Amino acid sequence: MARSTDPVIAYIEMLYANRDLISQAYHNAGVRETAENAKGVRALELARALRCFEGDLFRLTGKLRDHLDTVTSKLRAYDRLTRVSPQLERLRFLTTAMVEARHSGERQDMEQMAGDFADECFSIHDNVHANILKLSAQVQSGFATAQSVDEKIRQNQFYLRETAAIQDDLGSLVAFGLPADWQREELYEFARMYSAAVTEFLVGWQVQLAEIWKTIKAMLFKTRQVQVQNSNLARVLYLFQLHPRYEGPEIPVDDTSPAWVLKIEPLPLTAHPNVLSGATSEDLGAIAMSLPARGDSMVTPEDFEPQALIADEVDYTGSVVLEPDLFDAGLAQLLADASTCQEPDGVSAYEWKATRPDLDEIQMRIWLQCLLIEAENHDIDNLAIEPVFEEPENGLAATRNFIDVRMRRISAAFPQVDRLGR
Amino acid sequence: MFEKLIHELLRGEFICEYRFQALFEFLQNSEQRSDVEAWVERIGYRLSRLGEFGAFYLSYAHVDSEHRTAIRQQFKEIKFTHGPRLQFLSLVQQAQQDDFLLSPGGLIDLSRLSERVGSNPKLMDDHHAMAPSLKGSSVTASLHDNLKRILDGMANDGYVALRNPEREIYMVTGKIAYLHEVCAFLLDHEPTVEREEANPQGHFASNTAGSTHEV
Repeated sequence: MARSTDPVIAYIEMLYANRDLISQAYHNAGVRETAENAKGVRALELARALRCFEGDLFRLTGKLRDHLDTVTSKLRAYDRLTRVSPQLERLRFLTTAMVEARHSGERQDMEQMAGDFADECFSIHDNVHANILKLSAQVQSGFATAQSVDEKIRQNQFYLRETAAIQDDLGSLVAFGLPADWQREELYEFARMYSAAVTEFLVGWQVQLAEIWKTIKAMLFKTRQVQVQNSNLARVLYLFQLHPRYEGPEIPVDDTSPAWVLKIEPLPLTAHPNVLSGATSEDLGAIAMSLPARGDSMVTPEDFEPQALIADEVDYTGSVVLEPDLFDAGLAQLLADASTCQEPDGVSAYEWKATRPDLDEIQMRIWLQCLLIEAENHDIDNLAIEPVFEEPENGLAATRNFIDVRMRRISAAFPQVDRLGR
Repeated sequence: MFEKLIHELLRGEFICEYRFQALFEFLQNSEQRSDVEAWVERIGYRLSRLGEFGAFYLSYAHVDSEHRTAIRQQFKEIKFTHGPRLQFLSLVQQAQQDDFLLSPGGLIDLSRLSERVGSNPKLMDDHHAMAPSLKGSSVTASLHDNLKRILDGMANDGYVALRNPEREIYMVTGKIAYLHEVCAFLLDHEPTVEREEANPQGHFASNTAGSTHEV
């Protein structure tokens, strides 16, 4: 076969030629290089479909593996579930055979049949349990895997069919009656096994199945709803296109109109900051008065900017509102508290800030550093501001840890000496 | 919680599980819902709901002449108000090829949307045609920026909520059901618009139920 000149086709042909190796690498989590497959492995490695993992072991590259996962998981999702009817038939056969073996006195056959019966019972249990779990998981994630209504309808049909099949299976298991002669010694063990593996679980399975039906019902409803909504959207857009000056339907508006028609207009709940705005009213003023105070703010004329033009639509008020910085507000409050403090040791800035959650945005270390900088750069009347250092453990440490700032009132009778002894 | 809920309702918000999860859960409790209903009734409103399980909002308990005039005015502006919004949502749905997108909880991936619209001349034309009418939209060189502005405008109006700011993923909120109710209501009162009329145009055909996408 002549090689294609189209690189995409050539690439796909190369993958196709080595499809067995790719499949083996996907299902067995790798493929070992041998003399027979060395050429194919090399070709796939060059094409970045395989990569050397360890020694002669090659694995699929992540992207190809993910792609195969995606493709095959969708196919797996539509796999038919295992049915239990053949297994029930087998149970019936084993029961009959057991009775016959009993009559003919074949002890060994009876033991063999008892073992087979137990295997079938537990196999039925595993299959039904797995079916319900799988269906439940698929149904729960149903809307995540379908993007189009067509696909969703196909999915719904699949779920309906499979759930009905499990319902039939459960019905068959319930109907699998225990004959009266099972009470006889050799069949009593059969009845016990069937009960332990199947009968005891039937109620639980039926409850789970009811949940699945409920979810399917909701999915069917949503699919229908989405179908109608999408159709309505298209029709309304077409209506608007047909009538560019459309002004709504001519219908009476009264208390019986749909609730959405009577939806309230949003109420303004915050005062408009611009008193020139027409939105300001007595009610809004009352609301504004009820709001908690936010601290001092100051209105100053905005700086004049030469050659700066303001667009016509900009609401130019000519002023900006300045609010105190958080640190400045904290400092002012601390100075006020320290000035009135009667304690001889004054106020610990550390402890003071710890009681003020409104200053939590300022880190403690920065707070203390800024206080010292503030004290050095500005004269603060009547207050001594001093750093507090951690006591060194051995008294010989070269550095000291700065842990607090203490602020004390300076008494006029005892002039304060500064840190340099002046 | 009660106070916050009342404030949001009075602000005209739709309380859905995707935008106001805590408030929505608060209203799931029948006693708490009764409290809210009793409170709003005293000021002439009623607590309404979109569909059986949808978002909560406030509506007038009784219609007086003032309300009637305002509602009539809303009808007159219905095309102007909702038309561009519906067109945009339709465009998003076409671009993302997801028939279930315009349901509460649907996800709009801005990067993917921008890529799909940019690579499809028809969607690009539709976008250019509707953009000037949309809130927040502006003529910029970047399609991504323009779509983001439109989606932010929709978020501001409460139809979508920015769910993942880093990846720019928006989620459709319960308020979308309000638009669906508007559509259903208009069609109920405009029976002349048949589904068959929309299809020959080809313009909206991909929106209709049963649109096909490869699996």
